[in-house]
Amino acid sequence: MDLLLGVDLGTTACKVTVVASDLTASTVSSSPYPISAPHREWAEQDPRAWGEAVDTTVQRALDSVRAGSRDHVTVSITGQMHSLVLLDADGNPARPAILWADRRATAECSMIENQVPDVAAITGNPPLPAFTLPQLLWVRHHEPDVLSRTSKVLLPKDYLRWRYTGRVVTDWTDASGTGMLDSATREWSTTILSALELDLELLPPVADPIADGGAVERKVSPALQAARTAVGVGDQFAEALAAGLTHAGDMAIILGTSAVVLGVSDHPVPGSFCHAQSDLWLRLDSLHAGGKSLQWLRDLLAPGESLASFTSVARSAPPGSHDLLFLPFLMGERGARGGGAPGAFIGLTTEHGRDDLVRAVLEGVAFELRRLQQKRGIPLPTYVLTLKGGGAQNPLWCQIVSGVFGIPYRTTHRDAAYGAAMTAGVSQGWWPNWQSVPALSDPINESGLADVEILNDRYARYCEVVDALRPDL
Amino acid sequence: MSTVGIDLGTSGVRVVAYNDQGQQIATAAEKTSLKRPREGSVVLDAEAVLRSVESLLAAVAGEAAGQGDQVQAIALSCLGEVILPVDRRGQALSLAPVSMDARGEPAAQAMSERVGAERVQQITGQPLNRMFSVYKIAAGDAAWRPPAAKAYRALSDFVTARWGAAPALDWTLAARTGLFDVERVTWSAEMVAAAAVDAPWLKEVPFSECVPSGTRIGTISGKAAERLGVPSGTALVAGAHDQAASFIGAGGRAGSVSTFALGSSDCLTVETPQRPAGIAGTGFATYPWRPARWLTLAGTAAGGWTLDWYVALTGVGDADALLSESSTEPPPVIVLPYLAGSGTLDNDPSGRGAIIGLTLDLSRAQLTRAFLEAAGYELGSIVAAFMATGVPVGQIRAVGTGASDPITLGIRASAAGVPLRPALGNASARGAALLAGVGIDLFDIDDLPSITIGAQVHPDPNTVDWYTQQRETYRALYRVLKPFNQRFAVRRIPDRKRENLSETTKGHSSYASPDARHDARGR
Repeated sequence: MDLLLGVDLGTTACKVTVVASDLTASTVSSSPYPISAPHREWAEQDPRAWGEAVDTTVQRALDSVRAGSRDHVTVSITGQMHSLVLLDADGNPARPAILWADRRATAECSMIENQVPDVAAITGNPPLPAFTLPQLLWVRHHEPDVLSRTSKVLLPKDYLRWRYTGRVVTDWTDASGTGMLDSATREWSTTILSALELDLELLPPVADPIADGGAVERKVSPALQAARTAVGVGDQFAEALAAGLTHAGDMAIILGTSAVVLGVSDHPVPGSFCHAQSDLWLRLDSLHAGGKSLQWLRDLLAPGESLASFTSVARSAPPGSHDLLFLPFLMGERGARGGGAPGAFIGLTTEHGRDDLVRAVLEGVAFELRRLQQKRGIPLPTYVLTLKGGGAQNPLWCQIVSGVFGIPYRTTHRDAAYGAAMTAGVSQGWWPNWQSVPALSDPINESGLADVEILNDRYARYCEVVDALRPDL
Repeated sequence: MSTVGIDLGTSGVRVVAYNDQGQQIATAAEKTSLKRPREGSVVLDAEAVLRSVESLLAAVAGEAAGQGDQVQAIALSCLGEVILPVDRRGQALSLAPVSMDARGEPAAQAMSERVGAERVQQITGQPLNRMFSVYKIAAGDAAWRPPAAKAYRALSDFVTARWGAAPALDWTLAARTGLFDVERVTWSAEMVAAAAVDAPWLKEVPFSECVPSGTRIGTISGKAAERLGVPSGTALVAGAHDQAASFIGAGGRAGSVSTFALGSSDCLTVETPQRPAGIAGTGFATYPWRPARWLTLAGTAAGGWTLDWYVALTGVGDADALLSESSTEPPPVIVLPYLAGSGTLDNDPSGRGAIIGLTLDLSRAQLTRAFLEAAGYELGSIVAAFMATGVPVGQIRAVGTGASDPITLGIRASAAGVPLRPALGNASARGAALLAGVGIDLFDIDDLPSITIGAQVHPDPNTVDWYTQQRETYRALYRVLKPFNQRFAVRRIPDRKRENLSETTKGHSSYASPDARHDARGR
């Protein structure tokens, strides 16, 4: 039996999905692995803990579908992007991985911008502390002995695949999140590397995500006897593939702890990364405090109450939340996107109740996601918006997002592990190209469009208030 | 011998008896509630208020008599702006709109076009604002017009006239109708004529005679005395607007002592020997309460309301516990407390509240402190405005809910950048009782018994620079947001929601009077 095995290495746990040829899927999750924060704003993990969690979870997943040595399994691993893994010559981690959530490398970002003024034009994004390059420069500056022992710089999923196959390689989706890839040529930028005096030899070769990633040599299950791997994609791309984003103009929103807009473009645009398909790019516009904004308000006003119960009161507030606006900048905004606007409730009266505040948060997150698209001059799709993540389980929030964007919506439970399995499928020729991967069959919902007019009006006010509050006060 | 001060507030009544030394000897209080029959309409039932007052007065008078201190005189401290039409017998013909009732907006706009805001303020001493009584009368239906309406009464003269006094209203409450000429201390013919263009009944239905606070206006009738358990011959004396009564009760003095009342509306009250110059164009209101004694008021429309709203929003039943948990360090977040329009400094009914600078690591203790600081920022701005016009403020005595809590008062003092000293007790009821004593020559207006004063609370020296900067930011934020607030649509409450608009959950539980609060904080 042919099986696709998708592994998603998340920040807190890993998930493994096994897809059979009839596209039935079976998913198993690991127990959480810890994040350590030895200093304020640091976030690190032990790559070996990832390896152990993945081994166990892969084994359980294959067992769950009774896969055996006669099955033909193709593995594709996806995982958290940007995070830095350093391997020494013996193949051991030279230090704990520095995660995307780590904020230590701010000075290095400034240094990059000074020494490579056109870095954003080359890579598609300004350097951010979340990215691999500033983290690598931080290690060079603060832990030079660690860098001197380093033989390879890897990304998390590439570390795991190396662990299974012994093959050092990365793909252009994940590589484009390092801050070192030329987004147009999909090769490491020698301009950036030479300006910063970094050795190209430290970096793995860049390949097409559907290229062969090598045979599995680490036989954690009998079913992996003849298994092969695909190079794979970064986790946001696996999410995008699972959401069916394979044509220019497709758009999905992940309403998770942070909220992320994924949009496909047929040319490199600011804020974009390389799509799995060689002639497409994927924009990632993220708002740190997405679902986190709701949790935050719940913790302030009703600690201990379930989020679902707390959020349900928003149903009794009307569209527009009685003219109350929420600016969801509770964590600042990535890069220059926020322009310094503060988190805020604007327009309060004594007649506003908790229902209005909760609804204002749901609307505020949606407003900001639309504003991010507008700022980039991105035309919105007209046919459907795919919503994913925990927030997509809340029909009211889906309707609000749909109303704010003025587009019908659909939701899907397909996740990054499923997207990874799809990558394995394309690599094995199950489908000739990304566009041939079976589309989502989830129903399209137009219920949010009834509120388009009032939400458009409030959105215009929201943008004006954000702009007005941006100057230093 | 005792005198009684009756404090009529937005949501409660308090009756307090004082002996001839000005010491409290008996008190009783009861909650009353506002009604919101339709959008923009906020009213109280004057007849119900009267019943409540009579019941409480009977209890207090009995207790005072039991201590050998028979009641000799009564005066009222009363919330301003309330007005109602009465019939020949002085009985209410309509529910009485209170300050935040919005029905007066069209008439106020017409007055602005006809007379101009500057002229209105010059005559009446009050800024042009829909809250004043005249604009509500102009919106009145048949009950407010002849032949039904025989007179217009504020709550104070409504009550005293029913007890047998000649219809008389003190200057301070007369000023809060928006029709009183504060220089000539009489009803303004010019204002009446201007308002009567659209509402001719204003020329036909009379108001009460205007007298200084502390003027004896009559004697309680035999029937009323019997009903209330007070001696026949008990004097009825003109009291004052609650902010004025609070000032008098807390020992305010021109140039040396002002009062900061923490009520539904936080209000700084400052006395001057003449009408202060240089406040035209602000929302500051000024009126005389006696010859050569002028009071100027400035505050926030929703001081205590904003705090009550926040307390209700958190769902924490014990408001005192919530407030006492305020963080000890200033948070970076700023609250604009204009949840019912701006402060009087800006006289902007379209003003709205905001919470700015929210972050994920903001704690509830920090947010609570930010709500307390907001009252301080506004006070600091008002004090600065007084200083800019050359009006000395002197020592500021805090009265009302929360004034006796050194922690929350300290937060307000630090945010304001001025020291505050708590005056303990029911300042507004006390002020009314002292005026009652003045009316029967028990007390000398220039030598009133003093109130108990608590320890002065100073701004924290470690936060002076921080709060100086925050006050500037506070003002800047208001200016930035003003154009947006003005463009917001009028708040529309669906019927379903209004039915559920409970006084305690929607932040209207406050008592407008500076003291005797029956609100969520329960002090």
